Amino acid sequence: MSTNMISRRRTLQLLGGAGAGLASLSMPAIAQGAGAGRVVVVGGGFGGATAAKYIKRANPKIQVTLVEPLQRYYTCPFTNLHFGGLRTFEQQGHNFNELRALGVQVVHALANDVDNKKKTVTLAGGRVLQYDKLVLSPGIDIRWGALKGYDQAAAQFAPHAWQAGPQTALLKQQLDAMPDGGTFILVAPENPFRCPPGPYERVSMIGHYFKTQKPKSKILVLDAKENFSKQGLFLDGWKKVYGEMIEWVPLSKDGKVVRVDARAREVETEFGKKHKAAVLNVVPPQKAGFIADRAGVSAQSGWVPIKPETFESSQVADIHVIGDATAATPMPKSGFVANAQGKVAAAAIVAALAGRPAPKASWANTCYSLIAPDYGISVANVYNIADGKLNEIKGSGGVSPREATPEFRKLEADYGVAWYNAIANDAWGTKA
Amino acid sequence: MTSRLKTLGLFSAAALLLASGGAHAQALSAADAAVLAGPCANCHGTDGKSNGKIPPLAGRPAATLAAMMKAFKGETPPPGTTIMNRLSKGYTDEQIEALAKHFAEKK
Ligand SMILES: Cc1cc2nc3c(=O)[nH]c(=O)nc-3n(C[C@H](O)[C@H](O)[C@H](O)COP(=O)(O)OP(=O)(O)OC[C@H]3O[C@@H](n4cnc5c(N)ncnc54)[C@H](O)[C@@H]3O)c2cc1C
Ligand code: HEC
Repeated sequence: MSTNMISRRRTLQLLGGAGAGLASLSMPAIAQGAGAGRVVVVGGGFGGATAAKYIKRANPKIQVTLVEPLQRYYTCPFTNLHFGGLRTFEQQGHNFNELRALGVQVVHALANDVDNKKKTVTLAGGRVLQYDKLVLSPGIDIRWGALKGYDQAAAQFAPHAWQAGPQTALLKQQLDAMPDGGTFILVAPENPFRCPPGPYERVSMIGHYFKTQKPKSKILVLDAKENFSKQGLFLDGWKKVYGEMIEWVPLSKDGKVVRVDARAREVETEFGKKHKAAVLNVVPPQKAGFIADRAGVSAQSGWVPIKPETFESSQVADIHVIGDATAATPMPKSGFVANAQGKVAAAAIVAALAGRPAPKASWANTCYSLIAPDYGISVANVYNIADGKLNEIKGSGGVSPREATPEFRKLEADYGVAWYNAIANDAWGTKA
Repeated sequence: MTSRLKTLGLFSAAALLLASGGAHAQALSAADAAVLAGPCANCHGTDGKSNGKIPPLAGRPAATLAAMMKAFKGETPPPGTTIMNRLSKGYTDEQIEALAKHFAEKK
């Protein structure tokens, strides 16, 4: 579809959006009784699976259809532990059996288009689904080419592994094949991006792999930022556990990569310095999944602005967007947050279909990261709405203490595993 | 349109406040409590039914749960606390009571 067409459609959609607002007031659900209606959820990841489940649990009369191309979804969380040799890839896989058992219709297909005026979703293959409320949780797409030299072909040589699947396998294979004494380079992006502590947990886990298997190897992080999540804790931990193995180069020390030569596994920084890697991992610039553009909900930034109370798009009525695709600062793009937003959107949709106001919104986040197998750290926050905006509640949250006993770090490592099992069970019903 | 919707929203919120009456005007509904409790499930299990190392919350006396939450919020949280001191500070005592009641009622 041409951009021109998109923008023409978007204008139409915006006009249609006003009408749709009225339609939702007239409550299709009332006609159907018992607060029922048709909800389509696009994406069966952390946000989408949670939203589908919590809508169905709250009101089984609501017809919920989940659209997700993958038969088996693999989480990004804990793939870093896979690089560390602590878990198999398969341990991150989840199916949709519990959702089916709850009565959610799971359709394994890609959603190709959304007509927000007719309120339809068109699937690859041509099937058309009608909705009263639509939930989009498509996660991220890579902005191919936004970093010079980094396109789809380049990712076959220098994987991003920022979506779990074949890219994860490719990076693991390259690490396994790397001779001892090689340099692993990770290129870290500017904010915002999926999983702020993710790049730093990744190099920690690769550090563990090197320390135990390839001790002469080095790790270089070239960063487009001046600061990163849980920075003090990571830097302390790296020094303590890995000595000089991991070097982090911030923006101000010429850390920003401006060009990638994936085949040569070489990158060039802002001030022209070239770095050559044995294994090159590029975490590239990102945007909301493409379906957000097709639905007319994304903004110039590439992300989706939402109304905090309900996570309904601020551009189009009756489309709720959750997870990484949203512009929801100060919330990070985490699986925890996608799940929490999914529950708020689910409650708002269930209430709206029954003609009730949305319950008061509330969210939290916790990101556990592993520096070494027995060395866990975390960052936590609680959020509400203040002055109509998403707000980090003052005095709450924060990172693990800088000074802590080995027992404390071990406890957080164990609680990280407990978190993973609990959230996977909450979203997909998969038992560890 | 948006402003009309907003007016309607405010109107119904006001109506609700009136309906719930005087001193309890601030009380949280069961639906509000369920949303507040949403993120707890990510560690304590769906409905607070834990499947791992993090303790369960489901079906425990509300008074016990509320007392523990308030202790986490205090100056000296119980020894061995790793994260609840940070999380509990995000909730008012009233919200803590609502959370405790919510999980106590899960069997
Ligand atoms: C290395 C790494 C480590 C991480 N660790 C953590 C962690 O420890 N804790 C944490 O909380 N978060 C972590 N994250 C972040 C987490 O993975 C994301 O925040 C989370 O996946 C976001 O959920 P989502 O529902 O928005 O998107 P996703 O989980 O990506 O789900 C999107 C789904 O939508 C589907 N989809 C996309 N487009 C369409 C379409 N058009 N039609 C149909 N289906 C579609 C996709 O197939 C996918 O299954 C990590 C991320 C990475 C990369
Ligand atoms: C990120 C994971 C996480 C989240 C989210 C979380 N908890 Fe906890 N909770 C823990 C851990 C871990 C403990 C053990 C104490 C500690 O280390 O802080 C705990 C302990 C508790 C306890 C004490 C239980 C006992 O038997 O000692 C209560 C009560 C509690 N949490 C309530 C809640 C409530 C209510 C919420 C939601 C508002 C919540 N928790 C959210 C991880 C979490």
